[in-house]
Amino acid sequence: MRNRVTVACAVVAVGIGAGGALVATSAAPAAGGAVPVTVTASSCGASAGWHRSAGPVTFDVTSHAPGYTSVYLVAASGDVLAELPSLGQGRTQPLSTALTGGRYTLRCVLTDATVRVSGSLQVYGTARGAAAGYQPMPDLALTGAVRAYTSWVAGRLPGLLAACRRLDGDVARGDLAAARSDWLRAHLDYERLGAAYNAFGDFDPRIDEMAAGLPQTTATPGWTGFFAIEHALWGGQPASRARPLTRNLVSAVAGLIADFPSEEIDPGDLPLRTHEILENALEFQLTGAADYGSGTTLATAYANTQGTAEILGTLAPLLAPLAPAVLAAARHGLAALQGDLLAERAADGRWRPVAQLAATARERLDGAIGALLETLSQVPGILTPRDGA
Amino acid sequence: MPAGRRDFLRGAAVTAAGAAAFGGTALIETPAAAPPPGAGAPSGRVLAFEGAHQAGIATPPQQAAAFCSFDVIAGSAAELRALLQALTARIRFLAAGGAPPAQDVQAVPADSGTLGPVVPADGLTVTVAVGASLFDSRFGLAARKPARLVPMPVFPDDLITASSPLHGDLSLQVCADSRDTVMHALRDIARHTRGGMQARWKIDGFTSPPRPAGAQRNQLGFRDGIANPDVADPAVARALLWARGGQAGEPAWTDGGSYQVIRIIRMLVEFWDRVSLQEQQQMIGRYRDSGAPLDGSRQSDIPDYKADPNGQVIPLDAHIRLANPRTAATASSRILRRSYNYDRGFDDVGDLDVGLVFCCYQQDVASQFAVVQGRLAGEPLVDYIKPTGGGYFFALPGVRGPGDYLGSGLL
Repeated sequence: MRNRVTVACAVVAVGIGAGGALVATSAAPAAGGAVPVTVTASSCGASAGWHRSAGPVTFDVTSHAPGYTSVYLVAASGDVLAELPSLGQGRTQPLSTALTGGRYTLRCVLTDATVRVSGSLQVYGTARGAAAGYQPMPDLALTGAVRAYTSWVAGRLPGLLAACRRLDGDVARGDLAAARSDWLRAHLDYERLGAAYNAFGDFDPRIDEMAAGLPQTTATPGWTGFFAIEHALWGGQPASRARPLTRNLVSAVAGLIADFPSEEIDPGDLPLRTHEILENALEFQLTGAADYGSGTTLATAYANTQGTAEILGTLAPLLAPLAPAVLAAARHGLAALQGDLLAERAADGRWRPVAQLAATARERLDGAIGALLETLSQVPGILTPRDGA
Repeated sequence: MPAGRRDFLRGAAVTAAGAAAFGGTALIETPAAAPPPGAGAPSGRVLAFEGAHQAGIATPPQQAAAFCSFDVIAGSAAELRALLQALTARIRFLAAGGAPPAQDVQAVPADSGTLGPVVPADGLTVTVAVGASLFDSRFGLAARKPARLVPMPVFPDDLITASSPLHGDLSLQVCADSRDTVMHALRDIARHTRGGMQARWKIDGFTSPPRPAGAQRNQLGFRDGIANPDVADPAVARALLWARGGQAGEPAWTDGGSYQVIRIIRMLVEFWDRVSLQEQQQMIGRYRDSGAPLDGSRQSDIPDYKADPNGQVIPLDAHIRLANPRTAATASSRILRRSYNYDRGFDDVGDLDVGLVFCCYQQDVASQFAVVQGRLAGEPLVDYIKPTGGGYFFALPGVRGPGDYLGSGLL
C-alpha cells in the first residue's frame, strides 16, 4: 500500500512532466516562454500587471522562503488549476498548465501556513485543452469521514471476534466441516474491513498474511492467519494442526480490538483505499493468487466491494459537491461489479472458484473491475487536502 | 482517467454523467491534429490515420509490432459503437502524436509518460479488425458479417486445437518504428477501453534489418516476403487487397476493408540448425545467402518453373513453389504478407520458442490465403514449423474524416 509521502512525490513528478509537455507545445501563444516567479517569506511572485493570451503557460517558480512552500494557481472562482506541492527553499520547479480566458492568482502557502497571494494574472481569449479547476479541500474536511469510518470498523470488530471464536470452537471440537463454513464467514468479516489494514498495524500480518512472500511459502514455520488456516482446513490436515492457528487468530483479533482505539487512521489513506482495496482484489482475488484451497476468492472480492462501498459512503458528502459525476460513476460501477460477482454464487451460497469461471464470465468480471478502478482512481486526487489554496 | 470524453464507459445510463466527471479537459477537444514540432521524433514519421483504408496494411512493415486479440464485453450494440468510437479517438491521437492534455490537479496523469512528455507519432499504425465471433447474437450483427469471415479453420499440419492464442472478437495490429511506442499505444488504448473489451492474447513481433540486403530474414535464416504483390500499384491493390462492398456477396460496408490472417508459426530452430544447408534450401526453394531462387542468382530473379517441370532444380514441393506457383491460374490467390519475427523465450525443454507472426491481407480469405495454405499442406517444411495460434479477422475500412469512426458502416 502506498503512503501519502509517495503520493506527494508522484504529484511533483507529474508536474514536471506536464511542464515539459507544455513548454514543447508550439500551440503556445507568442507571449510564451516560462514566466519567472519568485517566492519569499513575504511575497508570492509579482504584485500586479501580468497578462497574456490563453493557452499553455509555465511558471518557473523559485522559492526563497524558508522550509517548504506549496504554490497553487487559482482561478477567480477559487478553483485550483495547478499546484506545486512542497517546493524547497532555493529550488526552482515549473508550474505548468493551460489556461483559458479569466483572472487568476498564485497562492503560496508557506511552511508556517501563512498564505501569500500574487497580483492578478489576466488571460485573454479562449484555449482548447485548458485544465479543469477543482475546489480545494482542507485536510480538516476529512475528519468527519475518518470518524465515521473508524466507528464503523470499531462496530464491526466484535462480530469478527465472535466469528473467529466460532471457528476456533469448531476446530477444537474436531468439526472440520463446520470449521470450513465458519472460516469463510470470519474471513469475509475481515475482508470487508479491507480499508483498515494500515491502521491495523502489526496485527494485519498475524490475521491475513499470504504465504507467497514467506521464505518457504506455505511450509514456513510461524505462518499464521486466515490463509494458513484455509491451507490447513482444505489441505486435509488434522484438527490438531489447525487448532494452534485458530487460537492464534482469536488472540490476534482480540489484541486488535484492544489496540484499535489507540490506532490512528491517516485521513489521506481513506480516499486512497477507495481504489486500493479493489486493486488488490484484482491482483490477488480475481487471479486466484490468494486461494489457499477454499476456492472462495470471488467471495473475498465481493467482501472487498462491500468495504469499498462503505468507504465511498463515508466520503460521499465530500465527493458529492466536488465531483458528483465521479461519485455516480463509482456507485454505478460498483453495483455492476457486485452484480457480476453475485452471478458466480450458486443458490446454495457456494462461490465458483476463479479457475472454473467460464471464459466470458471471467472477461466480464476483469473488465468490470478494470473499468471501476479507472473511475475510483480519481477519488484520491479530488480529495487531496490543499490547505490554504 | 482524464481525457474521458471519448472513453468507453459501460452502462449507457452513466455515460453522460461519467463524461461530465472528467472536467475541463474532457469537455474541451484535445488538440491532436497538429502535432508540435519534434513530435515525430525519434523516427520523425507520422503516418496518416484517415483514409479509404486503414493504415498498417499497405504500409511497409515498421520495426516493431504487437498483435493483440480482444473479446468485446460491451453489453449492447450502442456500447460496441462507443467502444469503436473510443478506439478511434485514441488511435487518432496516438498516430498524430502531440502533447497530452494539461494535467488536472485532481487527476491521475493523462498519459503513462513512457514516451516522455510529448507523445511522438513514431510511425505508429493501429489496425483494427473484427473476428467472426463478433457477429454472433450479442450485437445483432449476424446479417452484416463479411461474406468470407469464418473462424480460422484448423489446417492439416496445425497444432492449434489446444492453443490459447486463438481467435477473438477484435484484433489490434499495433506497429511503430520503436518497441516502446508500440507498448505505449497498447497501454493507452487498453486504459481508455476498459469495460468495453478484454484482452485475450498478444504476441510481439520485430522486423530484422536487411542482412546484408534485401527482404528481412526469418528465423530459419531465409529471406521472407520476397514475392509480395506490389500493392503500391493501385490496380494490384484493387485486385488482391481490398474488399469490394456490394460484390460477391460482401455487405456494402466492407468496402475498403481487407481480410487479415494471423498465424503464430513457431520455428523449431534447434532441429532446423541440425539440417544440412542443401536440404534447407531444397525445402525452401531459395539460396539462403542471396535469397535467389535455386534457378537464379539474385533475390529478384523470378523462378522459371516451366523450364523445370519435374522439380530437378526447385523441387515440386519446395515452399516457394507451392506457395506461389506463378501461373495465370494462381495469380489471383496471391496475398500481401506483412509478417514479423517473434521471440517468446524458452519452452519446457529449454528450446527457443521463436518463429514468425505470419500476417497477411487479402480481398478474399477463402480464395487467397486458404487456397495457398491448402497447397502447402504436407510440404517438407512442416516438420520444422508449428502453427500454434492466430485467427481470421476482417480489417475494417478506413476512417474517412474527422466525424467518422472505425466500423461506422458496420453499426
